[in-house]
Amino acid sequence: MRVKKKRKGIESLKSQYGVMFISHWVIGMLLFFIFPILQSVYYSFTSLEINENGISTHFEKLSNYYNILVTDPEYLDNLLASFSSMLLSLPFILIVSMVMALLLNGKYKGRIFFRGLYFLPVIFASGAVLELFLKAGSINATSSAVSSSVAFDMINFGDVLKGLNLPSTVEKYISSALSNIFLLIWQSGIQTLLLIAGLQTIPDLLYEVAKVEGATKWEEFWFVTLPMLMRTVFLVVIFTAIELVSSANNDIMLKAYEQFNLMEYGVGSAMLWFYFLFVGIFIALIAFVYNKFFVKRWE
Amino acid sequence: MTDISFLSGKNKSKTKKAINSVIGRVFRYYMLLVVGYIVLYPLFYMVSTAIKGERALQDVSFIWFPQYITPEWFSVAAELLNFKTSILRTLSLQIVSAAIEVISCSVAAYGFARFNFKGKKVAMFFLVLSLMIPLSMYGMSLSVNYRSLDILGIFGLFNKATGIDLRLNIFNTDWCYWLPSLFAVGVRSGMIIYIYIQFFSGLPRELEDAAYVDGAGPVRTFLSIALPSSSVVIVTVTVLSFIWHWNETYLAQLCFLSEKIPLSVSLANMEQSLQQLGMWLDNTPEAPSIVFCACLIYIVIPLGLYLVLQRKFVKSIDRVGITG
Repeated sequence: MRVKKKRKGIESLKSQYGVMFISHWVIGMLLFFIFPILQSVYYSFTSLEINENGISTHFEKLSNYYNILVTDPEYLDNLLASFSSMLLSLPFILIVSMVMALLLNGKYKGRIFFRGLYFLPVIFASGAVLELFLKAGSINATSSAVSSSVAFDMINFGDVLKGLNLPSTVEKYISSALSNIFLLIWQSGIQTLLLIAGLQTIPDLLYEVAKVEGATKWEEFWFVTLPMLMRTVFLVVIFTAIELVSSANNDIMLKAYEQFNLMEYGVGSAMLWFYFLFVGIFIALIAFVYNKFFVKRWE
Repeated sequence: MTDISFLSGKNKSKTKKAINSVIGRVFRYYMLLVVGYIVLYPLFYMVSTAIKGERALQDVSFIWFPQYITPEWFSVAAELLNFKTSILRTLSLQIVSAAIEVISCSVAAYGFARFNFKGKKVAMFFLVLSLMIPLSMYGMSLSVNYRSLDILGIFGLFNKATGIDLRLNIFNTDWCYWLPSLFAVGVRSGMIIYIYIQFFSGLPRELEDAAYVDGAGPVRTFLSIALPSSSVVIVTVTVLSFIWHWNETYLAQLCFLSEKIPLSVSLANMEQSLQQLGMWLDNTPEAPSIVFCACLIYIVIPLGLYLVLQRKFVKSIDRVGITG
């Protein structure tokens, strides 16, 4: 009885310590995350002016949203365009980073060297460098198609694809991915890193069992690696989606920041939040599917 | 003992296996080299364009190794980037902020990983939310807030009631970065806290329990037991935080006037500053060289740091074990 009481004391003490450790984060979240977000959502319903006395707002109900959705001819098109480009890049980045992670994982000579090499994009694939590279590279006379010279130099993949007699939409999709291959590889640095870390957590025991059972490498991937990696894949999908959505050369982001420069803070915020609502629903769907099918199936 | 393995066909499968493993190895190295080439291609391309001399620019026959090389574009690019002032800005603003972030996030993450408290689920929910909502969504209102820093509108009401303004204006000062980092909500802090949490929850508890039994408090336990065993995760997080801060442009563009911008923003403004001189890609053959020189100047410091820390960083990835 006495022991139990004492233990409870320690537990409550420990719980206080926990609060102590995260207290600065809680304050920070309130000040620099939750409050600005609420404020920016509020701005999206107002027209805003910044003058010497600070900020003055007029509540305008839904007129900003009405403006961007009904009056503005471009907004919805841009929204769908950047959303569909996200949907197109997402699976490719996932596949590229998965292939890279599987290549880099395991024991072989020169492992450290190759990994060091492959993580390089994490460092210089920042928005500004990437954007400048694409602009300057594409107009330069010496190499009019930077990306195509990588993928098409030795074998003409375009012909190969035509030979395969795929439906034209699929062919277009693949050839656009091939011509953007270096862009995709550059964008999958962090994802590769996350996946490798995930691969490390799979116990060797499972692979040994698979070997004893006579599974091929291919079966091993589908029945051991992928199910065990599902949590990381989920994280990678979410991370990539957010990354693509918030990248600075995204149409909607450009448009919204254009509005901010014109001092139209209300309209700009409305553009951002409507877009995010759209993406948020998509992410919620992925989370739902993940929880419903994958978690239960493999547990 | 006679060798009867040939009867069971074991020998045959052994050679087959050996052949398979050789093929597998060759295939792996082949793929590694191909993808490695693609990864490095833009870098090669940048370097070879950056050092092209004026005569080589007109010479289309040399793509990779230009005949006339010149370092002159580097000085032009450095001037356009305003390198001397902007690199100092980056160091004092972003790198200091990264250091603060690495420390403050470790404290918060330790709280999450080791203790149970009321409202932990709610806090975790907001942590995940901070991973999901990018800075670009609320950066604008954040920068408006920086002009008059307020705690939930209390100081604003106080101002209306008494006329005394307690609200600080940290706009265009280094505190725009430092303050959020101090509170562990800086540039991608959510991700960093997340990585820390994954690592701390994987650390064996026994050592820390022993410290408690010996009478150490939680702060002491954290500082002298948990942190010293976390050098692995600290390397990972430091590299990531450094890179993310180095590349941060959103907040910097919103919060700083033109004379105080860091290197990342002056690189992002490269297009405008070239256009102001009347030079851009459509009319000046040397513009790409200048642009790529600027890019190379921009990445050389993180690249150097990465090459120094590379071995540690790569090895640490294995052991940090970031899962879902």
